[in-house]
Amino acid sequence: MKNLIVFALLFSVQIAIGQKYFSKTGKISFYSEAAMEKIEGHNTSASTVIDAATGAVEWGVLIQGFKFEKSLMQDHFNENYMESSIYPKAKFKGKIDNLATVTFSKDGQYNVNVTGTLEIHGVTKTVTTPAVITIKGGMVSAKSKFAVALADYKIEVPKLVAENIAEKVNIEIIADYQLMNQIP
Amino acid sequence: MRKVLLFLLVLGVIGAGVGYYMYNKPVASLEKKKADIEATSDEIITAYEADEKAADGVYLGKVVQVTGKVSAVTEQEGTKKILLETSNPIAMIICEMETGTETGDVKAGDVVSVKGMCTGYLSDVILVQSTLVKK
Repeated sequence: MKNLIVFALLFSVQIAIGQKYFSKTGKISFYSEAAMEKIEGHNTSASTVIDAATGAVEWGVLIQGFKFEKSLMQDHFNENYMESSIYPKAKFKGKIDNLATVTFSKDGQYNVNVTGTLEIHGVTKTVTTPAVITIKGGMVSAKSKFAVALADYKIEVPKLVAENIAEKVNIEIIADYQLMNQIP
Repeated sequence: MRKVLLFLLVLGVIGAGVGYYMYNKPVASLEKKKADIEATSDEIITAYEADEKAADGVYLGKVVQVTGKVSAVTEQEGTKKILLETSNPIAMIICEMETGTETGDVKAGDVVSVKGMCTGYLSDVILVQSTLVKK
């Protein structure tokens, strides 16, 4: 009986939402390249959804899940800069501007622009970034690269370490999506 | 006077050594760390679904030992994950395992305890630097 309910639920959800693709293993990396030091952090458990019908795109990532080479980097990132106990997530919510150029049923590499709101450290900004959607044998993957200025998100770097942390941090995101109704 | 200078010099060298060591210290393993809190996968997801902020107050950034039924064990680019079922069929406790951790013969359906740092809630609750707790 429980299985039947779950099945009915998934089925009805699928009709209501059409073609949605999701991933819970999205990868987000950031690279800070300053004069004195290079710092990078990686997260492999970002959540993301693309709605093929409307072009809506969402990403979410937990700040404390970023991995670093050195313990101090991780501590400073969480405690001093991102204040991750107060702002545990970063979020993006937006839309593919040129959705018409993407044919989800046809293999290919599609260059798109995505516009939306990016929330980091409790500050929300409107951003536009180019992205690439790749369709191969029905599988959808997406990637994008963009830069974030720390000052825009009220992330303050003390003068003492200004040589160690870049004012603009490069961010790379990548995800392999699954069709929504294939939730295990 | 010379003794004092020598003492200060030695102290300085030790200080620099400790500083250098601290600066380069890798992220410490949680394996030997005692869990701050123990809970079942159902308890954690129920808390997060009811009130995320309150649940963050309890679990976020803490070393959590969670017990639950394995839904799947996955590996992607060297990162192993153990997914634990919860009372919600589409929400999991995703335990990202510490690099190099062996998951042995753990398979779907097993009930296991995993210890890791809780990073919060994104429709699933995610633990990082996780290790299996031996019974």
